[in-house]
Amino acid sequence: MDKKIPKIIIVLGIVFIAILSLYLFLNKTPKKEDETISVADQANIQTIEDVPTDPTLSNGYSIDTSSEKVLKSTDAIKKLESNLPYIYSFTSKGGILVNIVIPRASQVGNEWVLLVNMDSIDYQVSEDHPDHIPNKEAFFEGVDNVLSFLQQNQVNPADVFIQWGDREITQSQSSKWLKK
Amino acid sequence: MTSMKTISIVIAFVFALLEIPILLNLHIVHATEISDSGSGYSTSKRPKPTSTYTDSFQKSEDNLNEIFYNIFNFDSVTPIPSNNNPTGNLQITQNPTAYPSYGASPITPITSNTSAKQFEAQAKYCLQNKEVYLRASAETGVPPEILAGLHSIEGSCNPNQSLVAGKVIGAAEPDIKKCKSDTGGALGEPRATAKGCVFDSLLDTAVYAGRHLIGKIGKVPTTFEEYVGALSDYNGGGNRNCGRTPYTYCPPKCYRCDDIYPLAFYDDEHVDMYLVYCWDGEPCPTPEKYTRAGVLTIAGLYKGL
Repeated sequence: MDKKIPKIIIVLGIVFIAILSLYLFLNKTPKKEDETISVADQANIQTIEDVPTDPTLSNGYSIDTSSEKVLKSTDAIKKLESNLPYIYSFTSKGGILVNIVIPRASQVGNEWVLLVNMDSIDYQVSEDHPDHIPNKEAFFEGVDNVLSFLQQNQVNPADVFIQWGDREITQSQSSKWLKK
Repeated sequence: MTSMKTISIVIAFVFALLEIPILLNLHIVHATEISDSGSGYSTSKRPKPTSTYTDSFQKSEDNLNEIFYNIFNFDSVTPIPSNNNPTGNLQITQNPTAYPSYGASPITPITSNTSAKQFEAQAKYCLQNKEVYLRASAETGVPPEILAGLHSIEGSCNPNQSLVAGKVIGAAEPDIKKCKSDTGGALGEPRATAKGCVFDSLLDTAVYAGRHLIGKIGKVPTTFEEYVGALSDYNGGGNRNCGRTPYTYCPPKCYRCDDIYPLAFYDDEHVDMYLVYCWDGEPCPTPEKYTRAGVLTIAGLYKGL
């Protein structure tokens, strides 16, 4: 009878590890892109590209500071100022450590657009690379977090122009992901 | 009695067989994530989960991952410290420390004959802009030697080249898509022209660069490690070396300590480093040996002059 106990323990141990392995394996299997990205207010996000410009000035590079949308964004950013900088870190479902930093407007010298840095994401990875989807998903998880932060501070995300990163490559890839 | 024994052995055997491919597959999935996702760990090691959680599923998943890590990762790994709040949910930090403080004075002058010394002439060349760096430093709080280091890597410390992306002063800055047409002469602000957003002076670019470095962690970095992280992020973080190049000092000793942008040639551990992205969005066909000095290398030399 005593001889059976170690064997039963070993068997139970193996069963436990096997079930654990199976669980982790199933959760780590890459999912289809459409199933994993869910941003409720995605359609309402306004990026730097949506900022109205004065068509009569500077070939569309000059911000129309009298535009109602720009004024609304400026007011919303002022409302957030006392809660900035906002810093939040999390590990995405795909295992990427994401650091979100929203600096104060005064720190970056820009009062009409909200700069959101999520630099730990690889924005340069090509679409056919296996890491493209995990990075894209991490970005959207970060977007969800940023939108929650805005809403918690009584700011409608649709009222704010958000600049996703301060490098051209970051901004263009973010816009591409958001507009798709 | 015998049949019980036989059944136990058969079950054990079947599960053991089942487990082998599952374990192999798991390791491959994790290795891919780690090598290219930015954690900076080498491919054979799985970082411990270090997260604040916004949902219970993620938390339970990470807890299981941690159990698994403890069971199967036999190498000793120094975990990347983080500023996580274990209590979970949304965290708003008024006086944040984005990366852990190691308490050291941020920039130590480099005066001894190390691998960095070969770049001393480059640091001396930056001295011509000393007044500009000092004024920008007074405006932003970023030390002048850091601005010199940034200028060196972006614009070779040429007085007519920007600290932001090395463009000639007055040329359109590719990273700034829209700006005001009339800034009223505000320091550090770009100005819209028909060709794009431009800066009018080296000082404007230095102030803008300093502010954006601060924006990377929400405050003026105060430790060496904070500068490493913020500078790597300033460059986009794409040139970190571990898991992507033959660079050997992996896992890195701190967040982004394997990135050429802040640390190339800083010391003996940062000599054999590689350029991963030859241009924005364009990976080098194979990692190229990097031959220039990082920002902190020039900063240390500049401070030692």
